[in-house]
Amino acid sequence: MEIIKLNNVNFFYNLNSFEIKGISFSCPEKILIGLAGPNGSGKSTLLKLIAGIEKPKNGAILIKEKNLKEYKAVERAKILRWIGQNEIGKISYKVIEYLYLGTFPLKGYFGRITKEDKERAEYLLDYFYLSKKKDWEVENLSGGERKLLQIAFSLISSPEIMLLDEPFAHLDPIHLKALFNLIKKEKEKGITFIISSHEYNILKTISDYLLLISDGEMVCFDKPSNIKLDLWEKTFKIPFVKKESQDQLFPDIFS
Amino acid sequence: MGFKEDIVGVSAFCPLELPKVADVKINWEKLLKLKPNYVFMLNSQKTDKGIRILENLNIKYGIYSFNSLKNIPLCAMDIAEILGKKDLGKRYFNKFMDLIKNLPKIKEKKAIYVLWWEPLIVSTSSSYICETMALMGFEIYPKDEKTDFKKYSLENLFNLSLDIIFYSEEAGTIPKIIKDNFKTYPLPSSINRPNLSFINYFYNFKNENIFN
Amino acid sequence: MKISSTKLFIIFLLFFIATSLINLLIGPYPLLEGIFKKDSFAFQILLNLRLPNLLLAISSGILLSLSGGMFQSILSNPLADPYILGVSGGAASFILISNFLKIPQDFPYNSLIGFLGAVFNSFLVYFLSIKNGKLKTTRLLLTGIILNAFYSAIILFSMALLNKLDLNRFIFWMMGDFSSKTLKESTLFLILSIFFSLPPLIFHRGFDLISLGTETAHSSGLEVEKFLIFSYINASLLSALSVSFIGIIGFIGLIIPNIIRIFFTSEYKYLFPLSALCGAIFLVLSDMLTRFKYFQNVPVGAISAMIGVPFFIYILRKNGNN
Repeated sequence: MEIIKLNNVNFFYNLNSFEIKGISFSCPEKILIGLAGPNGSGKSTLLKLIAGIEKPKNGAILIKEKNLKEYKAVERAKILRWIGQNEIGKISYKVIEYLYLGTFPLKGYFGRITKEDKERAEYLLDYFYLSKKKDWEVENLSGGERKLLQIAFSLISSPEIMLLDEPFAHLDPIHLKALFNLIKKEKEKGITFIISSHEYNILKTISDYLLLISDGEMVCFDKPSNIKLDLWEKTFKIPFVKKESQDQLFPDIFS
Repeated sequence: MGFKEDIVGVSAFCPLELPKVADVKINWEKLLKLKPNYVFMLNSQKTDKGIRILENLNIKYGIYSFNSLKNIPLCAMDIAEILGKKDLGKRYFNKFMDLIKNLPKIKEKKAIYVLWWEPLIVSTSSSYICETMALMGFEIYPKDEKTDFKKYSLENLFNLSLDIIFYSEEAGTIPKIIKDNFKTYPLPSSINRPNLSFINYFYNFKNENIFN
Repeated sequence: MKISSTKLFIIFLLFFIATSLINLLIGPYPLLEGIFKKDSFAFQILLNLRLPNLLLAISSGILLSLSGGMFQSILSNPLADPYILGVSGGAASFILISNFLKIPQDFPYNSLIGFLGAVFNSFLVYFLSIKNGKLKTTRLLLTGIILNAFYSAIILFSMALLNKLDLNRFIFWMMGDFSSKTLKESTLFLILSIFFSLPPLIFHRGFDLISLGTETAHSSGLEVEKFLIFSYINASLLSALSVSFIGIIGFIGLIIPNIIRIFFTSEYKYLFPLSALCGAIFLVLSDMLTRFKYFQNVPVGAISAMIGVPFFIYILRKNGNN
């Protein structure tokens, strides 16, 4: 089944400059799509469109073969969660209370936190080395920890699609590795990820499919191994060279 | 009327040395603490809540406003009647009317009564003091106002071709421009209270006294 | 804070009950003694003076601090306050204008007119802040501030034209006044207040999500636009109700929720009930002060601002880096 399908989607704030221009693609479920492109190419806007935060000016976005417009907010959030680039503000919630807030799509205004929710929260915190800090206030965590907590905030409701905008910023190798492992596990459980980043080497390694965009237009949508160097160059407008690095350090984050 | 010994509380504007239970508003709790049998108040001080309490406690009360001269003896009659001394009220009424009838007469003069200089606030012809002065022969400005005092401008004073400007002792300093151009005459603050003494004060008014 | 929020709520509740009882018992009249002696004066004072005052203080404390907390959440600005948004100015302007239209100025007319003015202001601010069908919260705040300046002009203009009695009454209303309402009226006020205060207490999770940012709230399944509009209307009604019954009591809406936020929690599940209790306690204490010698006949609004503002400045300076 095609879980996400975009059909000639356009978006602009004013007619002179298109943010997103005629993007169409469809993707099968349970895969990880890497969204790469230079700064200002429209990665964040595209994710916001799929998340329903911005509405396309024309074209259609189908989620599970139903137009995104027809979803009620709660129904949509059960299937699809989005994590923006912005950090959690300086809020004095306890880590655990903040996580429980993420269950809103399942619980609504009145639902109670159950034993399963608690287990799921413990599991996610454990994965991100945050178990010991569950009674801390969110604002006392480090930038990287807050980013991971944001991701856990969305994963706690077990959605079917996760849209992550630049999730790798601020993360040190050990937390990056934790994130990749979790993504792998959750993907196996059936979550489809779209992850935007300008860290194209990371994306290239972890993605099942890569979506390259430049100036709001789609350059290609293909398996990473199929994408030739010239498409990378076309996307980033700079020559690319492939070389075995001699003296740069690479932590082992993918194993 | 001779009830002075029976008064247990007064308003802040009253010179009697008794507990003050009101100013522009009544402090009901302080008032009730004195356990009065009768309560007399101004219309502007009355509240529905206060009246309800008085009625619940079976305390007799009277509500008055002194926005005209004739209200003063009428109010006295009413108070006397509530206190069960109707004859005292009648006697007061007659005395008051006699005093008014026999007020000294002044040759027709245009006058104004200033309550406060800065900002300029004047008593209008409908206030009881100005009514009294009108009975003496003064032509009092401003006329035909609904309220008993009014905000005014210095320039207005010059337009009226006044013979004299009366001002309250408590009105503050007289502006120089007024002192230089008009005949001015201070009135004691005691006349701002509605009782027999303010009429008695006007008995000392003679043309010679004021206009020399 | 090590103390759990539930425990904190119970402590606040006990404190609230204690201050309310003390409020009822303290004043110039020796009430306790009177009640034991079955003195009919004491019963009248309790029922018709102190109890209505207490109910008004409690209700307006709840209304103002809840509406402040709601505005701060939905406008994502901790400095938002019902009065900054022009609620009081709108009510005051309507009351003053109605004075000139010869509409009677006693209860319930003045309350209804004040209420209309406050609600009218909220709609005006709302519609002036919408551009291209989108509501920007910063614009909302600015519009409120500008309108407030306009109301000040209307108020000063009309006050110059008012006569003595009306002016007196208006000034007391402007400063917030508990003393003129009967037991029946204040009971009605309490019931209305509790009724309109229920939504924020029930739908607190929405406010939590909004405080994470509208986009995150949207992606978490909240109908953001609808929620913001309903909360805006709700918060406006709360402040309109308060201003129409007891006049203008400033700073509560600004100070109380911020104190709770700084010292205890920003979780709305606790922040709203704690603010409501704390607001009520604050006004009950202020009301009690008006019965002491040097504060007699000082309007409660003036007292609350006099205590509140220095306290708030102290807190701001102490927590400046947060």
